[in-house]
Amino acid sequence: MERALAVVVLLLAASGFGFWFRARDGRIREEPRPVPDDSQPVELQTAGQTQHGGEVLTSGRLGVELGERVTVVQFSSGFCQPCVATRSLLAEISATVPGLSHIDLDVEQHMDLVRQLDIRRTPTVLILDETGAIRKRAVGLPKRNELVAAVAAVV
Amino acid sequence: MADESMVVDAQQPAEPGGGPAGLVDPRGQRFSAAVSSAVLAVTLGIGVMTDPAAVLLTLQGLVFGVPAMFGLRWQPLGWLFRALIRPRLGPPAHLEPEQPPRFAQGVGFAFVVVAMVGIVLGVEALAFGAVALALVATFLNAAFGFCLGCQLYLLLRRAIPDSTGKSAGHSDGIDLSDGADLSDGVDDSERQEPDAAPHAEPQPGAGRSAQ
Repeated sequence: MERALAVVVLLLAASGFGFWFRARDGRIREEPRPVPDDSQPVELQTAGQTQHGGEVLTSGRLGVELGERVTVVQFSSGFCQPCVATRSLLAEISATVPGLSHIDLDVEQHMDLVRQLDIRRTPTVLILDETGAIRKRAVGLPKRNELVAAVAAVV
Repeated sequence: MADESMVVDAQQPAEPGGGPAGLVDPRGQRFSAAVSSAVLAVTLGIGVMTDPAAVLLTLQGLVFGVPAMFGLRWQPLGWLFRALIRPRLGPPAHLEPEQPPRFAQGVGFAFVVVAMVGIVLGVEALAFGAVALALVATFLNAAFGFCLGCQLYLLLRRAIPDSTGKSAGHSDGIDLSDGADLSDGVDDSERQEPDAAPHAEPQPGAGRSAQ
């Protein structure tokens, strides 16, 4: 009886987590603003809470050219189902927004960026302005309308 | 009955070539996860240290482990899905790559192995905890399509230093051989095993064998 109760509690807790996760997954957050009059990124900490505010992704760091007005960078991995849906969503949006370029990075090939930018899971989507500064970040599959609004706000 | 079995047979040949190699019906994955979580829940419910639970866990270990190793074509619950459920559902709206669920089943297999170790050693807390984690993971997969192993993968991967030696920490004594590099990646295990401290000189054998 106690065991059955334990199983029920376990499943209820898992359900709670599942609903919480579903509500939060893919939400687009403002990235902390860059420190003014300082071209250096905010100092990175290797352990614990990493500060990723004020990061600027130049084309040199990314290895590809930035979009004219806005660049959407997706971090993907092979194990990741929502990455596929995110990719097609971004491709769709990039077709409708002029000056937007969509970059898909495999985390295995870019572990240095993953650590520097504190990418914790895939897909993670970064929205960069025309200078390469990270303006917004979504972890998980973004909702289409929120992503469109976020891109429009940066363009 | 004869008619039904014919229907099943008619479905079978279409299935292996049902999509490009390495693609699976996502509903089959959810079905497998649902059955697996039911099995794991029953295991916990009847008492993880009982004999029937050991039998169930062994079977579940096969259900997780065989497809993880040899591909999802070897998922017995997938056969069940194709034979009984899919004919009633019709073709899938889309197919998904098999790599993520395969990885997830490998994670499930690891949990079951830990649970079996707990059973063999008579440590109920270990067995219960491992099955409970496996249950939570498969339940989340079945009910929410959430892949716990996939979510944690990148965090684990990040903790393992690159071969470029960019990671911070005590890698001085360990750079000598690739084999030792792996153990460096698992920082926690080093703390637990002071014997494996990164001193290259006291362990000349390790260096030699790696070359």
